[in-house]
Amino acid sequence: MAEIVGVYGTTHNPLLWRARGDDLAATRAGFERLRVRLAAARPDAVVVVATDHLTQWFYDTMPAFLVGKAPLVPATFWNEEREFGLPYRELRGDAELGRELLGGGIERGVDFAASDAFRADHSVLLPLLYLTPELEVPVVPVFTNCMAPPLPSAARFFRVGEVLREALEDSPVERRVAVIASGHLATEVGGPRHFAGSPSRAFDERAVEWVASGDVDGALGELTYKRLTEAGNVSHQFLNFLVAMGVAGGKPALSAEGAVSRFATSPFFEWAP
Amino acid sequence: MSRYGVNAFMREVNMSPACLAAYTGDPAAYARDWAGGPLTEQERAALAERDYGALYGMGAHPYLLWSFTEAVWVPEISRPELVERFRQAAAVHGYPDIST
Repeated sequence: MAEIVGVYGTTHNPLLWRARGDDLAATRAGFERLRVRLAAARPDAVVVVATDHLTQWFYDTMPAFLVGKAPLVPATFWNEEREFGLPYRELRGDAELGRELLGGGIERGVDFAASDAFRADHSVLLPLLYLTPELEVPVVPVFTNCMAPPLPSAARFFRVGEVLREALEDSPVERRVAVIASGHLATEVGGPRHFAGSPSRAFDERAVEWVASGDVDGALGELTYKRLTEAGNVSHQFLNFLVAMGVAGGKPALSAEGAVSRFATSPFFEWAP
Repeated sequence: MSRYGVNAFMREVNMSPACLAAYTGDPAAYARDWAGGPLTEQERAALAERDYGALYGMGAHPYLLWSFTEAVWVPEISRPELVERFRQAAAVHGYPDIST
C-alpha cells in the first residue's frame, strides 16, 4: 500500500521568486524548514493540491476537483515567465499513483475529473522549486477550483483530503507519498487592496490558529465564500489547506507559521503523516 | 453582460505573445475584430480603451484583470504607478460579482 510520509502546506506567491530583501528572511526560513523536513521523509511521489490561475483550467470547462495522471507535467505558462520571471520546467508525473487517487476517490464518492495532459502553473511549480529544488520526485497534481465561483464548500475540501488519505492507504501501489497543499492566507490581487501587504492580518492569525490547533469545526463554520472574499479577493486558496487538514485527519499541525513580509503573509504548515 | 467573453479575451491576450503584440499594437482594432466569445458593446469599448477600471466594475475576474492590465500598460506606465492607479480605479467599485 501507499504510505503517507509527510503533509505540508505552503504559499505559492509567485512574486517571491525574484523578490529580495531582509523582510523576506522568515519566508525563506519557512521554505527551508519544510525542504529539510520533506527531504527527511524520503518520498517516492508528491501529491500537490493546488489551484490553477485560469491558465489551463478556465471557464470553458471548470472542474471542481481534478486529478492529473500524466507521466509528464509541463509547468508554467509563457505569461508567468513574463510576469514573475518563473522558469519553465517539465516535471515527471506519477500517472500510476494518479490513477489510484482517481479510482479511489470515485469509489468513495468524490467524483474527480481527470486529465492525462495536465499542464501546471506556478501554484504547483513554485512550492516544488523551494521544497524539492532538484524536481526529482514524481508529481501527482490535484487541481481544486478556488477561482471561479461558485466554489465547492469548505467542508467538501476537507472531505476530499480525508478521501485522498483513504485512497492512498488502500492502494496496492507501493509508494512513500508526501502531500503538499499550495495556497494562501489573506491575499488580494486585482482589487482595492492590491499589493499592499496582507489585506487582513486578523484573518491570517485566525487561520494559522485553526491549523495549529486542528480546529476543523471552527474553520468550516467560518470559511464561506463571502468571508474569504472579505479577507482578500483571492484568499479562497486557503481552502487547499482544508484538504491537507483532511489528509491529516483533523489533527493539530506539527508546526504552523504565517511569515510576515511586504507581501501577503506566507503560510508554512506541517502535519504529522 | 458577458463576463465569460471578457475573461476569455483577457486570457488570450495575456497568454499568447502574438495576441499581446497585436492587441497592444492597436487595441481598438483588436477589440473590434475579436470573435472569440460574446461581448456587449460596453465591454468591447472598455477592451478597446484598455479601461481596467470599467472592466473591474463589470465583474472581470480580478486575478486575470491584473495580469492583463500589467501586460498591456507596462512599460507605458511604470509598474508602481500602475499599481496605484489600478487600486484607485478598483476602489470605486468595491467587490463586484464576478460569477459568469
